[in-house]
Amino acid sequence: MTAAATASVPASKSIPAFYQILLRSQFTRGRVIGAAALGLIAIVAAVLSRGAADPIDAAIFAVGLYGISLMVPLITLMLASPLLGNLVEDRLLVYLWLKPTARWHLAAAALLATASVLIPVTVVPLVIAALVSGQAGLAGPVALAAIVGVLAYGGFFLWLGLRYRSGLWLGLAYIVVWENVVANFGDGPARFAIRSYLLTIVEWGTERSVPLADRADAAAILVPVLFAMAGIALTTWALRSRDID
Amino acid sequence: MTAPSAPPPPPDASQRLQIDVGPPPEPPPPDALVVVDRVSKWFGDLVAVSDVSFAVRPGVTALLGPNGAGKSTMLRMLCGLAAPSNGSIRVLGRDPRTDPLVASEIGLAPQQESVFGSMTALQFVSASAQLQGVADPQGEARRMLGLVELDADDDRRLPTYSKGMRQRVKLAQAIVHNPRVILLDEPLSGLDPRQRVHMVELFHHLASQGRAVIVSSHVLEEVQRFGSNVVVITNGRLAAQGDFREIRALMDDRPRQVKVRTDRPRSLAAELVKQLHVTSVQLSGSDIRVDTTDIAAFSRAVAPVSQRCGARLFEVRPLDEDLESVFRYLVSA
Repeated sequence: MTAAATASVPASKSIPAFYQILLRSQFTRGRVIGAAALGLIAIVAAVLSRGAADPIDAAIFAVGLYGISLMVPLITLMLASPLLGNLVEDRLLVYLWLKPTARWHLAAAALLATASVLIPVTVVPLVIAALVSGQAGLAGPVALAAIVGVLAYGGFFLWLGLRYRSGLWLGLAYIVVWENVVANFGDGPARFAIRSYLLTIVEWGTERSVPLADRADAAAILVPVLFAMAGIALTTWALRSRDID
Repeated sequence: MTAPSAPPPPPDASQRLQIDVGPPPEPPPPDALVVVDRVSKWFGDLVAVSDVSFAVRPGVTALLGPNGAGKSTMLRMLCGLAAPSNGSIRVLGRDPRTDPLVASEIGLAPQQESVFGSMTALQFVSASAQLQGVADPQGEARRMLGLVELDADDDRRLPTYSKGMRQRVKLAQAIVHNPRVILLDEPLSGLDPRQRVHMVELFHHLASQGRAVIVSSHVLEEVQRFGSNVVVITNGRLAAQGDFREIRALMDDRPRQVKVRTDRPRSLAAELVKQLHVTSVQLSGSDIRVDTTDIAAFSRAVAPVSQRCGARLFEVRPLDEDLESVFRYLVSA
């Protein structure tokens, strides 16, 4: 046998290895197709928006209020929360945990795997929806908002799925109750809702005012990225502190 | 007459702790690769492991205990997967729970059958090697799969493998990075007899290279083939550690059973029962089963006694020095 490494495996080697395992094992075709089906709703809504009395508002509703506020978090929840949670349930996490790597490598690889599947699944239908709605100016901002949203929600839902067996339901409650109800009650709660930052990005593509889009431009990018980093930190902490079966 | 001395100062916290926990345990042997020191683990009100201390040196060590005794919890703690609620564990002097580096020296083949559904054996073992920092992950994975008699070029996915094949894949991933401590949870289940022999040979081969191979098993017949060194856990507590024959010899409170085969069983049994150290005799055909409190005295006495009654001895054999008997005594104690 060859000699084993006596030092920690560097991130440049471990993150690609974790990434490949997670990508290969956790994103089944059925799950991805199910998630992509939600994207079709945005396209259908965008087509219908062309016949609305105010097609611009209808387009903003289709790509912004449905696409960014519901579709992106729901798809991210569907695919991110079981990514590490299922490894716990299936008792497979042991094969990734018992390695001489820093714990954040696994958390970061999980977010990368989530993003690399989810970004096409969310961005493509939302860009198509923006184009078919006749509001081509929305396409770029909505694509950026989807990418930033996938990272922010992804980090949070990875942690939720790893930490709690009922992570999927807790995530659903968060999306519905906090992001889509409580956040409407004022600027204070809205500051803690990811979608207010994402809708600010969407507003860059239109002259109209988008609900909740009250954040500063720099914050609209920076805060969701901080959410994503906080998600990685929480996931790392959960990997360090929880017992592994 | 001496002057009355001043009252002693109150002990500080560390002294009080020492008093509470009793005398310090014996120091571990210098070549111990794994040291478990007063480890307890509880889940809510359930105490899974209670105040267990032992050390593991190079060689094959069997971790024994009935179902639910705490073996798997102990194995999980040994590789850091679970944190002890109390006490400490050191693998090669490092804490496996908080120091991920020590994972490069630990190989684990867990009990669970679940595998990554979309991977082939080669992909699984080489991914493990890559995550362990092995220089040539695929080459080493091929070599390990060959060592456990699996075809590295088999392109079937792992879920299609038989239980025995999966066991061997798990073993290959456990040793692909050349660890010094190898933990195997029920590694022989699902293997056919020929594969079992091969695996036991492999365990001995790995141990002969200075590794600690810790094997958890409930099949005592198999464990006896691993070697004689055992750690026995019952009800979460350490019941015994060491060579099981030595453990048996220390069990003075248990009568020893000896089988004696002779051509005159009735007369010999009548004479043997008169010996002070013989507590009972049972006749079964030409066999006599003797319970004695002093095996040495019995060994000295059996030949003269049989000579006196004109009986020829064909066989005198201790019956309860095997691992199963030792285990039964320890578990029932």
